[in-house]
Amino acid sequence: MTSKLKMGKAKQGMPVSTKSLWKRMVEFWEVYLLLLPVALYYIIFKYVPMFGNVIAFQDYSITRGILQSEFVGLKHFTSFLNDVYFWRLLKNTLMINLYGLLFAFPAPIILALLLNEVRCTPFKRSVQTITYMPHFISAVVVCGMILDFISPNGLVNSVLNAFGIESKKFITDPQYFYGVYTVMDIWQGIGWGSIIYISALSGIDAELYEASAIDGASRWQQTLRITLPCLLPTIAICLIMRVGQMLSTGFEKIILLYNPAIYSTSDVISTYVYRKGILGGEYSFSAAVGLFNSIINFLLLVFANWFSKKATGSGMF
Amino acid sequence: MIKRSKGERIFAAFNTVFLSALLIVTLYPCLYVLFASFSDPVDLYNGSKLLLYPRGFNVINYKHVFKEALLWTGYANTIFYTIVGTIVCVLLTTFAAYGLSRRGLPGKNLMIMLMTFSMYFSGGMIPNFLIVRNLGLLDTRLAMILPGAINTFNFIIELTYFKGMPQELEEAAKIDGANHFTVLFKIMMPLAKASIAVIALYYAVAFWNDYVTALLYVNKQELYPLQLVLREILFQGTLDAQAASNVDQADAVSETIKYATMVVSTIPILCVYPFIQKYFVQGVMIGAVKG
Amino acid sequence: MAKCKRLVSFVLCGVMALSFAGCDKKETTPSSDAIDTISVFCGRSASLSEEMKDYNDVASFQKMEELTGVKVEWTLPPASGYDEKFNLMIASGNYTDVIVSSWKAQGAEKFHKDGIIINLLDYKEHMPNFMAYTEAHPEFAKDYISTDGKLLYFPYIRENLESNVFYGPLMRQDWLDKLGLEVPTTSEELYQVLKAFKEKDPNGNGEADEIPMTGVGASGVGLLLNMFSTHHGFYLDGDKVVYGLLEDNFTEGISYIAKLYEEGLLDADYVFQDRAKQDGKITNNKAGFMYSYQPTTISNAMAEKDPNFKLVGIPNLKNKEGKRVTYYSAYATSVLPSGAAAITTACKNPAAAVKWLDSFYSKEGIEAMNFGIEGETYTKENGECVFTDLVMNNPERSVSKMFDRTSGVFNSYFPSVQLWESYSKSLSSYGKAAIETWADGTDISGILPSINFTEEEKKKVADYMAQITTYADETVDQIILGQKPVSALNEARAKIKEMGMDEVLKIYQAAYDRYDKTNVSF
Repeated sequence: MTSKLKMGKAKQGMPVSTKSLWKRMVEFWEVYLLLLPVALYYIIFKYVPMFGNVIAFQDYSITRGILQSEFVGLKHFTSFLNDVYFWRLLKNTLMINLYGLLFAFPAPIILALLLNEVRCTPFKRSVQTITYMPHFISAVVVCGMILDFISPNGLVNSVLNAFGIESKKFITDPQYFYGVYTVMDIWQGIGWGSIIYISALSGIDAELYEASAIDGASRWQQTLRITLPCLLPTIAICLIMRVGQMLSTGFEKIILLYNPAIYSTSDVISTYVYRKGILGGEYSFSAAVGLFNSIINFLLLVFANWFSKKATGSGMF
Repeated sequence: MIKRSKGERIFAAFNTVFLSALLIVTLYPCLYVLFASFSDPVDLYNGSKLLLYPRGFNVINYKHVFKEALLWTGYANTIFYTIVGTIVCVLLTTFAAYGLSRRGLPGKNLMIMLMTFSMYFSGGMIPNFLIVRNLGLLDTRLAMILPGAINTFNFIIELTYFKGMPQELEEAAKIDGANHFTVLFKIMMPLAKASIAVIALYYAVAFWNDYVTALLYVNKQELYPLQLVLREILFQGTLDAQAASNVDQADAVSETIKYATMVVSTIPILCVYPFIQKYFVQGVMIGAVKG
Repeated sequence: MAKCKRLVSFVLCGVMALSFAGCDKKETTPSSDAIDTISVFCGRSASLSEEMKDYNDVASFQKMEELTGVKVEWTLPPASGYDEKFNLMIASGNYTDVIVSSWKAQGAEKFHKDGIIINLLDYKEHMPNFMAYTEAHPEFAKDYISTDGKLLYFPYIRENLESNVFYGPLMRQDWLDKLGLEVPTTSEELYQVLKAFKEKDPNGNGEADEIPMTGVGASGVGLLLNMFSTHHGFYLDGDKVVYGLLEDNFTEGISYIAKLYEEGLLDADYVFQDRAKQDGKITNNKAGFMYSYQPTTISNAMAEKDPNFKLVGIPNLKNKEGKRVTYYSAYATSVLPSGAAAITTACKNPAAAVKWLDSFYSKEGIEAMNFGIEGETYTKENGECVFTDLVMNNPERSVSKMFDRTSGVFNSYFPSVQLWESYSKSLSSYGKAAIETWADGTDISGILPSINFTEEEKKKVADYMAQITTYADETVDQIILGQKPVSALNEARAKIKEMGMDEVLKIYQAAYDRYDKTNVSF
């Protein structure tokens, strides 16, 4: 049975578009069989629980459950949008992500490209392995170290003083927070983030380089004409995903790095919701804020995907 | 090898210096954790956290961690979850990526869209728990693996890679009479090694570090993964609920023990990366051989 | 098609599970009053994680099992995941017989109304010991009786003031001695002492690297405000609930702290450092004064390293009227917010469960929970309980480790009565002395007791206070750091009133009045 189908398909070949939808689907039956467990997984573990989002429109009480809790419509959404701090929280969340997009996003790509130029394999591997290690150090330790380095009498200020520059209040002056956070993000994430690009680089056909070298292209030209174009689909996808996170922030790290004196730049949506939760805020409010973030994030992702398809021809869907 | 120009040599020198600096900067926090784990708790914070060698060298911190009764079952469980979980996840993700990168598959984009959508709108802790409970998975090893069987981000990474692979390979195989299963297992998977290695690493690290799943779905201590066992140590003295307690937890667990805990729990997973690296280089080799 | 059906049934089962969560209540069937096992959900104490499996390994609970004949099946969620586990248990409807939690914060009345926990007073006749204890100590009762006169949980009680006074001002006595200074008692004297610490090199290394005062966060250094009869947050002025920042005294208090900061007398790291770092500065001869926990840990650690090191608790400083007022809430927290045990509607035999929990308040029960097993972990001398060498001089384990294995009231948060008589034995001589110093003559009348809000009030307070505390905390730190002048307080006062502070104060006042009028006789 299977062999017959196979044969038939091989003979039929192209073109695809003239066939009826049903026929095409039958033709792909093996693929659908592969996708079946995937679909089941998504339905059971992702789509069924999605009904839980209902609590964003309720005054959910854990003791009553979803059915008995009272519906309140958009109350929690309006209460969040009308909060005195809403715009400040939104601004900080977006700014931190914008910094991330401008600096923390390209950093691993640059590292991967630089590593690609290293000829000495042991050195290359050591750099790869060691830059990836900070990813495994818990946020508490990393943030603690950063705070220590930039504290009034810390390492960074000592170095600045040695060059005759006055000490800076990195921790208590609001203007530095975005920078501090981004530096930490790069420090901890550069090696880990570069893995995907290093793997993509290894997929580039070496023939291409050889051919261009014969044409007399310099390394720099090769990077521009071969390496970057080959990396582009990966970069595009990662960028789309990154844009789809513009309203999410590394909550734990911010909690560890900020202090009330710099709330004006460091207080983000998630930290505010967290503090409100401690005061006795409810599930429904945080669910509503979460849903709000998700909607915006998803719309951004769809937009970025559309844009990327227009601009580079590659996108997710 | 073609001789390098002067500019390229200057660049190479600069590159080496820059990468060495990066190496030092990223190595330091790791050394710090290591040094702190061998330090004496009282000497550790000598005003500054800058640490260039263990202060008041001793191994008492490790003795404390290794006394932990559940440490070894935790290790065994974590290794089990990581290995089995990674295999299951990589297979499922590869099925999805292969299937959804086939040209002309009806419903393809809709499914990718729906999968991406689910990444954003999760139902929250309680609905997920009820699903796992109703499937009868509570307190089983499967509960550690199934609920996170496909990570949509990883799926998209692999999908991108599969999309970029030359379509002719598949067509040539089809003419030779291969079905999709053969194409996937015999042709595509070996060729996509570099990408599969990356997502395998992502999954392995995620399983290794995961304690939340165990926290929610597992009550039996004999099923606890390492991270949940050790998290108890890390968590001591920081409990909000104990804020009103007059029992000083700082005594029970010093900062240095926490560092020893971190070392014990991360060293094994750190060792995975060098093995994965092998696949990154191989990709290039295949290309070179072909050329 | 079969596949499709299965999908539908999967979806349906999920939806059903969601819908009926929370109304999955079990019938209670009263039966004979004897039980042999009882299931208990309780936070897993951090001290259990090594060597001990559950609380049945603790001497106190072994003794209690012997006394009552009831075996406990513990469900102990990891300490780091208590809240999640608690919520999942409630949401899924599978309760244990007894749940130990922070019932007041959880909103016990809501749980009772929705049929999850029972009113223990329905089984009054089964709790003679607890009734007797309440009669003997009526001062605690207001805290655990609900405003409508129900008893929804058995509370954890710290009977003696000393047990609550574990946090206060600590100073390097050896530095004072070296500079020939007296222990400061007022804000002015404290200022002079800190100045001397800065200028006269008490650590003797020839450098002016001393940080006279250290601390953690605005609330940590905020205890300095007590000298100006004010505090961060809410407290009582007579019978009136007030909010510190709005009071006139607050201006003076903040000015004082800002001055310390400006002159380098207050640690510049106070805004962001953690306790480990703060303590490190004390033990490494960098800092001389802080508000912190009783110094048992520090003094034990330093005993061998530096015999001259003396960190002592100094009396709480006096305010203008010469009173040692303090607003540190733990000082007035005799009934712990955590460690309260409620009986659920899933319990088959509530009467027996009540009887069992009641035994933790009997004379033998309190003794067992504090001291463990007679003849093994303690002996009686002239009617007083004395720990044996097994606990106090164990060659293998420190005293605090032995306390974890011995005494239920120390590591379990299981409700009973904690006695100073046993707590004090876990402390070093410095720790004990510090607590006795702090307790002596301290005035805690201004501390707001743990009042109860209704659901409605709680939501309103959270809504308003999220904004208010954000604004207040930000302003206070900016003033201390010198980024804003003290006069910014006026603007802040107007602003937080605009944010609804008056409404919040009304809610607090109403809740306090209800609390004050709670009828404590059953």
